[in-house]
Amino acid sequence: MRIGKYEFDSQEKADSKIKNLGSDHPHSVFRIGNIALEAAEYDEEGELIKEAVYSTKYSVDVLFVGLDDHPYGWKSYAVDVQGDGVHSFMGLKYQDYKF
Amino acid sequence: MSTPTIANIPTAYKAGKIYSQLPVDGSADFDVARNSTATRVNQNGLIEEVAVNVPRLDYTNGGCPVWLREAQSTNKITYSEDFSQSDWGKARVTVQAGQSDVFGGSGAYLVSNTTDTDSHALIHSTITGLTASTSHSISCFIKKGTSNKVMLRDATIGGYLAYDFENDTVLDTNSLSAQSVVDYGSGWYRVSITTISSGSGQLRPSVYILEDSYVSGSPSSYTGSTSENLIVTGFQLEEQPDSTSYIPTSGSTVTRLADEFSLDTSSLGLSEITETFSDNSTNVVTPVPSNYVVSEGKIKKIEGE
Repeated sequence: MRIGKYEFDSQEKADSKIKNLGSDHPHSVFRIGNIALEAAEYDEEGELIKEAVYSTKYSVDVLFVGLDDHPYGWKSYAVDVQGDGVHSFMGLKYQDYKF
Repeated sequence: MSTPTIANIPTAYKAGKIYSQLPVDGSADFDVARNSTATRVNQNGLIEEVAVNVPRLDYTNGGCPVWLREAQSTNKITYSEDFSQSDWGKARVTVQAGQSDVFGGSGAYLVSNTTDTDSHALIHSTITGLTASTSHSISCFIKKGTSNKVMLRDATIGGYLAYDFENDTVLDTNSLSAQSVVDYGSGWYRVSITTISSGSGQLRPSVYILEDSYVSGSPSSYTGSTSENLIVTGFQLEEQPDSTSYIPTSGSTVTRLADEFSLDTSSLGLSEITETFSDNSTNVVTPVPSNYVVSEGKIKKIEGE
């Protein structure tokens, strides 16, 4: 198993790439969406004090089975992160399973 | 059904395989795949993590176990057990780590009132980016402390369930499509509510300590006492019509991947398969596909003829 983290210019682009994966490569997708680059700030009751600042990129995590490298056409969208980033697959550390 | 050709009652397994009782030659043993770890309730009533591709024999509610076959789900709460994190607002409560938990450890938190006058709650910051106007389930494990009454609530829309531990009674609910309070033993309950996310895709999970005089309605203002408390762990928010097995998190959202149980039926000559679930409901599969995939749910029995 390998885990890839990807950023696309839009959700539509991500949807298109995911759709075109078809069933050639067994995979599981988690759509993160637009990641908060600066976290929102809240008071002690959880009321918003300052809005979050979101990335314009649409992020997706994909777990692939039986691949040694990114699927064709995906590598240019791959990103690397420290630790697990903002999302992980349960029990699978990104650093141990990344391409 | 007469004597079945295949029979599977949740018992024996190994990684990647579930063994059937009939036939005895192994031709109806199921293949199992799940590409992440997951949790189950073990024979001792404790929640434990199960390795990749290992089937989950689940003992929730005690008694006979079931096969747990679940869809992919993500816990959107980034710190599901660490309530000292700033994501968790303390509205006239304090939190203290080191309490015995439902995992056999000591990771639960004592949540105690302050002496201020208002409602008293542990409230997560608003979780954004959810699918708008869609069913989401919020759950957490709660153990009675000195306070008898508790409320699990979404502080954005206002859906809630209020529960009385002393009398094992649901006191009130509001704006929920599903709810449950499941006894996990040793005083622990998993309280779950299902509500609809806001039109802007937001929810705010929270747990309130209610005053003893609470009867119904939204959490009211009262003057707290530092001796009023309850014990909490294992918060979960997921885009599901009901809560699924617990997914622990520690700094990121976490996805449990789907279980898949499948059986090549091409040599078995089956005309129908009956799946029986933990609530004794059944699903009859006919005609039987050559690659039969077991339905999602808590599977009590699978028979085919």
